[in-house]
Amino acid sequence: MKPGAIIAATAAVAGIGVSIFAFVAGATPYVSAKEAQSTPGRNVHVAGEILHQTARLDLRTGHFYFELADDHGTRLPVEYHNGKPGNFDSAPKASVIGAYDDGRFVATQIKTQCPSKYESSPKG
Amino acid sequence: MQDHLPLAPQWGLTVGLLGKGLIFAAITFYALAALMWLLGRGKLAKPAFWLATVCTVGAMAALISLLMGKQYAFQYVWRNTQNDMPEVYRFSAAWAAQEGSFLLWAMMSAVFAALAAPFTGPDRRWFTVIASSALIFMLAILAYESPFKIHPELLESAIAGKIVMPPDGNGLNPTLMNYWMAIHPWVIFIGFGSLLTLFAWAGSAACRRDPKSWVPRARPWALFSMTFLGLGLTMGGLWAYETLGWGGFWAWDPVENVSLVPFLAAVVLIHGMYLQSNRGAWSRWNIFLALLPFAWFVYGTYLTRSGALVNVSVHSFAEMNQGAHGVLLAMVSLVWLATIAGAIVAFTCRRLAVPEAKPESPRATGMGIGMFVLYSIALMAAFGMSLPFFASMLKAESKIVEEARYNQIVVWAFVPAMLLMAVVPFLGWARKPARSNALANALLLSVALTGAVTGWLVVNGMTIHDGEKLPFLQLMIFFSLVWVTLFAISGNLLRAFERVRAKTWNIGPYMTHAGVSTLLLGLIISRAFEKVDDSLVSSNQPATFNLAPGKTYIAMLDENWMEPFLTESIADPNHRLHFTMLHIDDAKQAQFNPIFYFNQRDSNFVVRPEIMRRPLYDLYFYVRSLLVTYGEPLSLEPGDSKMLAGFNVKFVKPTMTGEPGQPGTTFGAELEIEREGTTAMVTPTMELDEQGRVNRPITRVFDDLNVVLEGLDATTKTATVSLNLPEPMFSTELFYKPLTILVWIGTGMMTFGGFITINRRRKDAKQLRAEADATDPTPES
Repeated sequence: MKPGAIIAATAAVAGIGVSIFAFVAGATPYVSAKEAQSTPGRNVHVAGEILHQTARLDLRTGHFYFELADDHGTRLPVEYHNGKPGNFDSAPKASVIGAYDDGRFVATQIKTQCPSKYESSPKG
Repeated sequence: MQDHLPLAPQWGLTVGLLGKGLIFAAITFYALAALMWLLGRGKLAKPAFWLATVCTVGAMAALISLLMGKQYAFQYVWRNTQNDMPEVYRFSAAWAAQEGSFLLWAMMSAVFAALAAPFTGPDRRWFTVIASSALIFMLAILAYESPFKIHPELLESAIAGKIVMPPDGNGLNPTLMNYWMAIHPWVIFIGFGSLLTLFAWAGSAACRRDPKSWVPRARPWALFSMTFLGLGLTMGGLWAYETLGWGGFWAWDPVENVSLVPFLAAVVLIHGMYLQSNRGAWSRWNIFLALLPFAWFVYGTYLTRSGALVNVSVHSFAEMNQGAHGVLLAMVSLVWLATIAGAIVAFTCRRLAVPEAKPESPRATGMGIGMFVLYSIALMAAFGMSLPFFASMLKAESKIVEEARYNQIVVWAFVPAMLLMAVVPFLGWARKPARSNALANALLLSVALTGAVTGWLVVNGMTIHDGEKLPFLQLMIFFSLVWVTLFAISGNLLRAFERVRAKTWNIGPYMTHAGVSTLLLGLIISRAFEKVDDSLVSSNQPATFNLAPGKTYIAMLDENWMEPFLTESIADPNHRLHFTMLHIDDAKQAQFNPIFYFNQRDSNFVVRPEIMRRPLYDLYFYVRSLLVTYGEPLSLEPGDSKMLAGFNVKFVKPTMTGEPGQPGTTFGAELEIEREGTTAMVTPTMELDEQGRVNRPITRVFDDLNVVLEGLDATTKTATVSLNLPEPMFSTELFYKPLTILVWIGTGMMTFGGFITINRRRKDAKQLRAEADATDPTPES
């Protein structure tokens, strides 16, 4: 094997290794609401159903509050400092990224899901 | 409850049955086509393959006729359409949900394979066997996850086999009611469908131990595949930009990555084919490289459709039927096994008739490195989207890769990829120095353009971060990105110009390179330099957006905006709000009329951003929500205190004047409301009038709070109190996005370049076929 090819292969393996490490080390753990509450300060990702009736926006601060119910039904109060996200009203589910702190989950990012699934009855 | 509903018409039930039957017929014909070719009976196999394609297209036609005919007895039609929707969206509902999009994939794959088959020459036998086998799996998924199913509730309640017809459907997701819905899925699925053709062609080359003859024939098809995947990807980004309201094009969502990975894999394949055609190199690799795009797509389809990433993606798909899940899993496994087997044959088989490679050259080496770098980006995206899946397989803690992390990692491969795209076109095939003068011109041009672009941004007050100084390394990386994309644009446009001057007109690859670079430059600048501000607006209070020095805008809401709320026109999907946007610095006005309507089916407001496009920037205006109340009503027992939106509300005691149950009796709740050290005592009331109606007068506090007593429980003495805004307000957001036009220009250049190249390679392939036919008149049998 040529030296150039050996160097290229070594660089490729090293690059792939570094990338994998960077992805794994920098990825956000996906946890349940209960786990998020039990590890305050840890940056995590929680997904669940939006409880729309709990949503409110503080007009003076621009902070947005709502509750999320995860797959186990645990309710997580969420606080978001960048106002109400777009399409929030029509989203059935959301993923929040942030950390639990002092009784609420302070989200740095909210991803709302498209409501592509409907479950009502065809019989009216 | 359904006694009053009419019976589903016979024609609809027949078409549904026909659709289902066509899927089974297609499976049968594909099986027949594969079997006949295996038995060497090509004359029987060819019509079977065509008939299978016709059946697959027929199944899609059946679905569309059910949708257009409003046959709501069918679950798919009921779930995705409604009476009051434009016909174009009723048609587009054919690919709006899981079952329909699988059918579109199968149909595009079938049509593309059928069109390519006559041009496969000696590969036709194995090409048909492999394509037919894959199509059988796709159609088997549809046999389980059928769009032709009667709604189960109607089936359960059918009396004597009679199915009733619901009067209306549940309706299409409002996000999908967009003109892109009629264009984007077709384009991207042409790209996805074409991947099977490449897979089958390369598989055939491996089976025939012939890595040489298939490449010139398959090359135009591979170019077509790459062009449509690229176009589909950018259309998806433009759709997100125009619809979702977050002002971006790309977020590294798993569904986006599922399209990106096969696209990059196809790009690498195109370069491999180019090297094979020109240098005789990469012939073993090309078999493997052509198998991979389809394998990646099938794997990505499994990840996003099986529910494996249900909490990770913003694209939520319905959970998969268990049978369909099993078929898809089997398909993924077999496709990857076939890909690995193909690679083993390609790399180890001594009988492989490998063409003689010409001596190494700087250009070939540069392209090889570029292919490696591009594939590393594809692998990064594939790994990032798979991480939650891998974690669940290994029972490890699930992890999700966020957008920012993707950007941080991918940038390390992006810079060399763009550099190579700029430099390699100037390298020669022979071992001689690069055309350094021309390269230096490109370099100088890129430096001048970087200065002009960044200078324009700085003069216009466009900084990367608001008031924050970026770390030096981050700043350097950012300017490297701008320069390196401009270098790639300059280099490729100069090369294209050289070709035009030499009257060779082979400018396709250079236009594509310049287009991709322009597109990426637009994405980088419009996102990194965007300015955004949010503000509240009502008919009495305009919104002020301070975006940057010299970029202050005021949005004034039309004072009659509430009128549609009093009629039913607010439910009209074309209803718009009317804002006058005033640019303070030059007093110019513009009208912004964003779509805003009430979706009765989901009981929520649907909003769309309104974009004012200018040559140098986009003004992107988004109405986030309508605000009426400060939050959920408070339930308070006497003595209770609760905080809501900065107001501390204490329920002191209930009050009553008059006799309970008698007209004119008034119930009240004495409240102490405190905000920022100021306290007010109020008593909102509920009054029973002569007609027995309950009136709830509004009590104004602090100029910006209306208190309403919603209820008072006589037994528990619990008061329910709403804290409302004095008048409804809209929460709005304005983005200033510089040079977004580059995204459109880049898309156009990239597509134009792609079609020029397809046309050129099509002519080459035609010539090759003519030569092959002259030497062997029956290559297909």
